[in-house]
Amino acid sequence: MNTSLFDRIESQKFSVEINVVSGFTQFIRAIGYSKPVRELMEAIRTPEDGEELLLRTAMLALSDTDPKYENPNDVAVGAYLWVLAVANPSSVNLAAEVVLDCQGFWWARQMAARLLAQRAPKNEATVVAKPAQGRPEIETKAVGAADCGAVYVRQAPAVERRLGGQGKKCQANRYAHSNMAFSRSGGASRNKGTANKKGVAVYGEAV
Amino acid sequence: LPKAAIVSEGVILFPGRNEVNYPSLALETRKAWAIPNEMRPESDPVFLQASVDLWKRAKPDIRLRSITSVYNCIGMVVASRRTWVDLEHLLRILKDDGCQKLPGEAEAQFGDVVVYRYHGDVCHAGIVVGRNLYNPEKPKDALIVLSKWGKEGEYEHDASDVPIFCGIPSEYWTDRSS
Repeated sequence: MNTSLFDRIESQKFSVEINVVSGFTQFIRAIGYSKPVRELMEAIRTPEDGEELLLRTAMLALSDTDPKYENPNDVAVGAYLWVLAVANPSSVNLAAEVVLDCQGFWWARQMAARLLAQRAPKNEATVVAKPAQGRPEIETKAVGAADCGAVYVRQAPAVERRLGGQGKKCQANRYAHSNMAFSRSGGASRNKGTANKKGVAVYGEAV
Repeated sequence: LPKAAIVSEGVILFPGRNEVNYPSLALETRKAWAIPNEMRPESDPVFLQASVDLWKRAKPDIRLRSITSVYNCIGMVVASRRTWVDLEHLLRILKDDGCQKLPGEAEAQFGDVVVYRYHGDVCHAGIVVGRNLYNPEKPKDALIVLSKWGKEGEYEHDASDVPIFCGIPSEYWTDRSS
């Protein structure tokens, strides 16, 4: 995808222009009318594009910001959630979960809460993504752990390269070797341990 | 680990719900209806200044009064700039507080409330702070309004000189009984 679209949506100018709205309906209208968001919507043509946007959203949501202030990525993350909800709805819940757990969001938090509110209540593990090749769909189940989980998302190599090339230590690299994280070499045993401890593990490709 | 973490192997991990809620204030209308509200987090001063600069370039005639993210236009009008109140509550608050809708712009006076609409929806509000003198050479809006533009600045401006998403002046409400 054209990364200049990301740059425009994540710009201070875009945030300032959208942030004159005072209500969520107006926020949706404003981002829906905005040119870069419309162009981004049109640019998502393949599942890989959707995955790239999903990862971009999660990385932006988890990037380091000053906790004293509102997250400066609020409008961009809110816009990405909206685009995901329209263009790649099967993956938007993952991003919404991440956003709701982060501090400092306003519009993005409201967007995420509304998206998740539309989701049917879960009483047990639910497969939220298509199984990835060679991975089990569900490793374990745990009663009452429906809101806990780990989801494997196939990451496009181009995204990894770009994230790695930003010169800034990003969340992705920081937690790459955590024992709570899955790794390609770690295999099923590590995954299973995490799943047992935390609840539910679901592996799959975002679709 | 944070509540949610993404790792480079392509895994998103979210160990549980920890939704963020912002503080709200005990606010009521005159009819004792509790007004839903939430104090929006403050923005970095650098971003606030960038906002002022951008809007000053886009609309050179506006005059900045102050800027903070904590309240919005409705919070300015009905909550003394303390907190963010959603647009959907404005008309109920005005009615509960005994305000009357005026026939039109000509009847609006200093201190009255201007309600803006966009495609029929209430989307902005401000307070009348003055009237422009009629100048046939340079026609202006009749009213001068003070309003808060979302989380951006609080500006004094001609009634219709607002960002497009703030809509157009559509209704005028007053608490004056005579």
